Order: sequence, then C-alpha cells, then structure tokens
Amino acid sequence: MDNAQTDTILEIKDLSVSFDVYGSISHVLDGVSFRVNRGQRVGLVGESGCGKTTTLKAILNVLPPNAILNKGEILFEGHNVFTMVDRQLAEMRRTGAGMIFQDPSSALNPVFSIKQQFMAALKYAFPPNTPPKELYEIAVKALEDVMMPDPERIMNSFPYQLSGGMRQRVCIAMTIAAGRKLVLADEPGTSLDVTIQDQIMRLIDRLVQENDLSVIMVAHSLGVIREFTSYVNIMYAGTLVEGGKTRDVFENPRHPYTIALMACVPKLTGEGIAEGIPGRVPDYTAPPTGCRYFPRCPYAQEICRAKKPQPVEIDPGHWVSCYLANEVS
Amino acid sequence: MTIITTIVKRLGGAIVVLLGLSMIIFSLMRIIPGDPARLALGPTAPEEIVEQYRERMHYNKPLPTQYYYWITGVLKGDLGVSTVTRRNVTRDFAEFLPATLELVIWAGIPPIFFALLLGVLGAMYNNRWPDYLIRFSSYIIVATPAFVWAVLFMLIFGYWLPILPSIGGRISMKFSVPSVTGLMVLDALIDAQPAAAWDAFLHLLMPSLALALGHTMQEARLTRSHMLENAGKDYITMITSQGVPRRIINRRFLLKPSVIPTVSIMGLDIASIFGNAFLVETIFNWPGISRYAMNAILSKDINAVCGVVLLFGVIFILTNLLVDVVVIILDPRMRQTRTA
Repeated sequence: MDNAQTDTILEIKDLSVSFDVYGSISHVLDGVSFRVNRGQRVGLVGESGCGKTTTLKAILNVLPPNAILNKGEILFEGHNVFTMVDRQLAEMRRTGAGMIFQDPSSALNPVFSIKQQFMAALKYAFPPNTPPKELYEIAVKALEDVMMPDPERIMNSFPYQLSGGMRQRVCIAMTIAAGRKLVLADEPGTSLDVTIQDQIMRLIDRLVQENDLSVIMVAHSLGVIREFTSYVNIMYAGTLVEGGKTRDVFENPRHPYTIALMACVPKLTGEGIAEGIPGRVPDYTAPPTGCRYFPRCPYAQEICRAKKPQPVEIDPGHWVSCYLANEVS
Repeated sequence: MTIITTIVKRLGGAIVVLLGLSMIIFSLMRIIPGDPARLALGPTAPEEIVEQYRERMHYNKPLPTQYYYWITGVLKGDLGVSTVTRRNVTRDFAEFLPATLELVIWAGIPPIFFALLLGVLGAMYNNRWPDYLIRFSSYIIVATPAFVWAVLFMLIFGYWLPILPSIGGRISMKFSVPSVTGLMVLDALIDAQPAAAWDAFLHLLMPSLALALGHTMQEARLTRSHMLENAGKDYITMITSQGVPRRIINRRFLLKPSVIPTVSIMGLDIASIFGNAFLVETIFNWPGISRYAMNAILSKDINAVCGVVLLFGVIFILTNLLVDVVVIILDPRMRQTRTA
C-alpha cells in the first residue's frame, strides 16, 4: 500500500509552535514529527484544539502573525518551508500543497464571486502568459470534476448563493485544479451535515485516487480515518502520542489516550452512550511537564510527570510515546 | 435591477419619513411659547397690524388648517416667507445652500481617500510607529470639536503664518464670479478665472479641514480595525495558501470587505458635518445654510426653521441612499432578495 520510504514528499521534524495571546504564551505544538510519502494517505486525529489545524497551517507557512516557531522544520520535497525565499514558498503553495478548510462558509471571500477568487488563484499557479480564457476553462473543468452541476453559473455566483456542500466542493476544486501534489484536508466534512459529509469524503477519495495525490486527513471522526487513511498519527495536546499503519493502530491501540479515544466511539451494537475521556485538554499557557496526557491518564506514574516520553517502536512501523507502551493494551 | 428596486423602495419610505418630519417640526414650532406674529413685527407694532399679519399668515386658524396651507405650498416649492429676511425661504435656500454644499462636499469626499489610506497604513504597520502615530493622533483629533480646530487653524494659518485668508468668506472682494452652480471654485473655473478659483479654494481649505478632521480619523480607525480583523479570517488564509501574492491579497481581497463597514457609516457622518457646519460657518464668516438655520431658530422664524429641517431631512435621506447604493455595489450579500 505505501510507497517506498525513500520517496518522501513531506517531512515534519520536531515542530514546536507557540502563540502569543495578548502577552501570555500558549505552547501548542511540542515536538511534532511525522512524514508523508508520495501517494500516501496519512491521518491526523485528536480532540478539538489539540493543534491539528496549526500543524496544517505550518506546512503552508500560513500561521497567524502571533504564532512563534520555537524549533523544528518542515521539509516539502526536501526544502524547509520556514527558510524558503518568497518565490519558492509561493511556488510550493501554488503547485505543491494546498489546504481544504474545515468551514467552507468562512474559507471563501464573501464579497468576491467564485470566478474572481478562482481566477486569482489560478493566475499565479500557471505561467504568467497563460490566457485568461484557458484559466477559466481549467476552473470550469475543476468544478466539473467535483460534480458541480452547472459550473458556469457557479463561477458567476457569490459564496452566499451556494450551500455549504457546494462551497466545500468549490474549495476542493480550487485546491485540486492547479495540479498540487499534497492535499491538506482539515476536517473537510465536519461543518456539513452527515449525508453531504459522506459525499465530500467520497469525492476527495476519488480525486486523490485519480490524481495520485498525497493527503494529510485531519479528523476527529475515527470512522473517517479508518476508511480513508493508510497511516495514522494520534495527536494529544500538541504532541503525537502514537502512530502507525491505520489497521495496526485501530486493532492494537497502545497509548492510553488512543485506547480512551477508541472507547469513545459509540457502537451500533447498542451498548449505550460512550463514556468519553474525563478531564480536558490542558491549559497551553502552562502545559503539564513530562507527558501532556498524564493528568488524565489512569495509568500515570511518577516518571510521566517528570520527563516527556520518547517514541518507542513496539511493532514494525507502529510506535508509541508512552513509558507503559509494552504494558498497556 | 436590485439597485433600482432598493432606490424605489427607499424613496417610497423617504416620502413617509419626510411627511412625518414635516408634521412634527410644524407642530413643534407652533407649540413652543411666543407669538410668531409679534416676534416678526417687533414690540412696537400696533396690535391691529399684528392681527392683520396673523390673518395673512393663517396663524389664527386651527393647527391642521395651518399645516394644510403650509404643506400644499411646500409641495409647490413655496416654503413661505421668512420673518427675518422678509423673503421666500425657497429663495434663501437658493442663496445659502450652495455655500454649505460646497463646504460639505470638500469636507466629506476627498477625506474618504485619506481615511482609507490611513486605515490601510495603520493596519499594514500594525503596532509599529506609523500605526501608533495614527492611532494616537486620531484620539486627539476625534475628541476635539470642529470649532476648536476652526479657531486653531484661524490662529495658525491666518495669523501666525498668514498663508490662508483669515477674514473668512468664500472669496476675496476683488473677484467677481457669476453664479452658475453656486459652487464658487467650479463657477470660477467655468468663468475661466483660475486666480479666482484658487482664491476660493484657499478660502475653503480651513473650514472644510476643520469639518473633515473628526470623521476622517474616525473612519480611518474603523478601516484599520476591520482590516486587522479580516486579516485573520479563513478566506485570507485560504487565498494566501493558494499562493496569491501578499500585495494582491491586501489590495484586493482584504481591502474590499474591510471598507464596507466604513462606507456604510459615512452616510451618518454627513449629519454630523451639517451639525458642525453651523459653528464653523460662524467662525469663518461663511454665508451658509447652517448659519441661516441657527439664526432662524434663535429668532423663531417659523417658515425658515420648518424649511431647513425638511431640507436637512432630504439631504440626509439622499446621502444615505447614495451610501446604500455604493454598499450594494461593493457587497453582493446586500443584493440578496429575501424570500420566504
């Protein structure tokens, strides 16, 4: 299923990002590392506010101005996005990686037509002498690809005239149209209703297959991740706690957080409402020392408080950042 | 099409508003104490003459009848005779309104560009010295009333550095410009008198600047804060992540949504400009309608006051209609027709 390890499109190394929120520093991402191979579908799972979106924005270097990069690097095709010159960065955004946002109603500019926004994006992704007519055709073709019924009419519409699902299709079309290689999908169905969500996921699935794209799929729905990805990273409070082939992680979760997360999924067999995980995501201005999960962890020990656990490979390609990795199951 | 529907609807509403306004101001002017006929003729006039005057002006009729006489006149363009100028109020308007319009146009329109420019600069240099400078000075400028600026300018540019005409008025005595539009600079240009146009422009500078400062800085602050707020919106992150250059994003995709709120409050600013114009006109000896209105109020000149109130109502409605049309052009969401 996965390509050879050598063909890496994206590699995140020890990424740590803080935010300056009116003078108090929130330490959100702490030492996030993972890689995406060409053609691979990688999942990133975690609770709301655990830093999934921040990770995606960091990849495109579009973090808000109050974000602080403490350390780490993100290599896109071998080049660090944080040290790229403007031209390289623009090139990476135009043809390298693109992001599908969680909420399509806020991802499109309300006072410009779809055509104006789409054409602006395409204009810079293609050589400067490309005639506008050609760009327009590319846009219409992309809208057809996302199963939009009347692309020409959509082009002349404003976002408020489209439904949530249609807006998300437009965003997907804009992300795919210029021939990007890596798609960062930030919970693309979360803000839509369930049937539309399903359509959108199928659409992304098809487009990824047809265009041979690499994907990072962010979700808090484990079902989506299980169906869609081949590799998954579990994120808790800005740290990765477990990672491995999706099948391995789902069948044999080893980190206490992953286990608790799996237990939260309501079962169709009717065992009542799932329990949820007691406690909440920590305060990032003073995150727990050591393992960030220990305040909520039923197995927590002294060492968990004292020192951050390092990832341990427990099975080939399946690693866990937990001192009890070999005991818990 | 939607713009036209909006205009038609608004004008329909405007008629109702103006009718209501005319009734309120007409009744108020009759209710406040003081005999208008006696006020008009002075304390020494014999009672007989005053009675005749009352008869002629219908002051002795019931209020609805009086209103009927007045409003039918107004609809024919006859606002009645002013007790102060002894002329028809309509003629007074023709004389005094253009002067104020010229002032308000200069104080209202060119500053829009400065307001947007300062707002954009403030947002671009957020929390750096240009932004601090703009924000700090706007506090002071907004908090200082227009007439204080008027006096200060008079002192600085008319007295200490006598580079601008300090006597006031619209133009120096040596020029004679035939009135075509009533706007002095324009009339001078039409009459091919560039020197007179320049002179009229210099006369305009101080009063229009005094009127413009407050609302300009207010609008600049508003633009700045909306630029900053929108810069953090998903749609800006989205278009940035698409690789569109920063300057295009700022100039196009960020500026347009950010100026819409500024534009929509400009219609309200017009009202405050007219309000402030009274003191500024007084200080600069500007023969405008605001000063005329204040004199009318002080001398209880019934027809003049009612006329001025209606006139300001019309101006306010028209400028706000214009602003709404601009907002509809800028913001497609405003074109949304509400369907059940």
